[in-house]
Amino acid sequence: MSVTFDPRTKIFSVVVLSGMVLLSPNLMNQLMIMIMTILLCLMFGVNIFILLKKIKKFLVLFLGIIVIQSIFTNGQTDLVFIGSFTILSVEGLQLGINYMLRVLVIVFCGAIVSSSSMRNTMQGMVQLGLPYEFALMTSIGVRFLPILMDEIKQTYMAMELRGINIKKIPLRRRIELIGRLFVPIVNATLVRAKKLSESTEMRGYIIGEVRSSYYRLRFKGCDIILGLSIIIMAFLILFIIR
Amino acid sequence: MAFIELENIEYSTKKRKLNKEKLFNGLDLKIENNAFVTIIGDNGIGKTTLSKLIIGEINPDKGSVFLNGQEVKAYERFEIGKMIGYLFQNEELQLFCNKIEEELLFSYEFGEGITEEIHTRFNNIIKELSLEKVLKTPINKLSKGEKKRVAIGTILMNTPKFIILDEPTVGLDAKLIDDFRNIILKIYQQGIGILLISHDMSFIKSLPTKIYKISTGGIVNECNI
Repeated sequence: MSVTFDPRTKIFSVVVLSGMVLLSPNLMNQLMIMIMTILLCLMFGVNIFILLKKIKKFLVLFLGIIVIQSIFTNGQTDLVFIGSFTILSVEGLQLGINYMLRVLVIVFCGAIVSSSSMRNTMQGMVQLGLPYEFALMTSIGVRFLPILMDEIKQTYMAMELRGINIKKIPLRRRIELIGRLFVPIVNATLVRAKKLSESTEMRGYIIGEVRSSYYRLRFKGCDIILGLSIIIMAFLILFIIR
Repeated sequence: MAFIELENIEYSTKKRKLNKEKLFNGLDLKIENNAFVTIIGDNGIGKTTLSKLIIGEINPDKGSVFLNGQEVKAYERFEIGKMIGYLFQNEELQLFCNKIEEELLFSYEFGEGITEEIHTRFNNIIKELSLEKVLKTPINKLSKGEKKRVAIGTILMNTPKFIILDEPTVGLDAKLIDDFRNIILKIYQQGIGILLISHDMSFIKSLPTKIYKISTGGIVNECNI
């Protein structure tokens, strides 16, 4: 039997996880937070494999950041070095992995929030006391990002289909060319934003008006149990297992 | 030899993969050089996906797509662009400049350079697409029909062998559709092959085109309307 959690439980878990990952003092702590995040993702029905597939491209970036962190960190235990110049040290590596885990936890948190429907997430935010406008803007932003990404991809492809070999253009000209990409993208975004604001106004959404709703979210037993478990886990990870 | 060839294509979108459904399950299609082919089919049946497979935007799960006798995978995107022009459903995504002249010469400005021959080609295309009157008008002030013509102009500047038109009549009124038909016919008469994706039956009926219908699973059948 599958359990559907209240979006407020998800928002609460995301706030706790992000807070924990920022406060965590060492690598061991962060690893435990990562495990806790994965467990919560599974409980909330986030498909981790699809998520990992999506962020696969960024793994190279993460590795690059680990190396850069390591180069600029004065470590005492060198792992890879050329003469007196340290490329990789144990301390640098630790710092890089720290960074990677923090980013991964934040990405997973995003997936947890978007595992509820837009309507439910908004209702959850409102019932938590956040201003309605903030809830609306956040949910629109989350939902529009993939569309924007798709348009950027299409525009880039359109540029390549013009027969331009982008790889062969000198760097300065390439920057100029990429700058041109923004013309259709900004244009499409503005048009979309205008249409969206018109349609929301047509449906009676007026900024500043107090909105009411018949729909109410109610906590279930499983939400309370999970909420308490999250608090206990957070306490254990941050203050007991150090 | 077929210019475009799709051989035993199997393809699923991410969403369909989760439900273990296939959008195309063994799709075969051959389009000859200089042919005029129209693809029809219900919404979501995979018409646009088919065109994306042809230009290599997406790869099939199984099977192969050939362009001019060579697998699409073997080409760089800019090489495909030199052979095939693609008119997007939303043409605004393929317009990067604010002046028509800049727009049409864009690929040469960042590519091989603008020669006398390119200028002559530009002038011919402007005449052919009846864009003389709006030549000085900023692109963002043009009507949808005019923007479509500018986008076609950018494609013709590359002297492609084939053009893919994805729902070109959407948002155009009867007069603009009529103008667009004349443009397509002119292009076809120049020996450029055309792959039209459309729902507009009266528009399709008025064109000298072979019609293929895609059905569930990517079964392609030639049909008459």
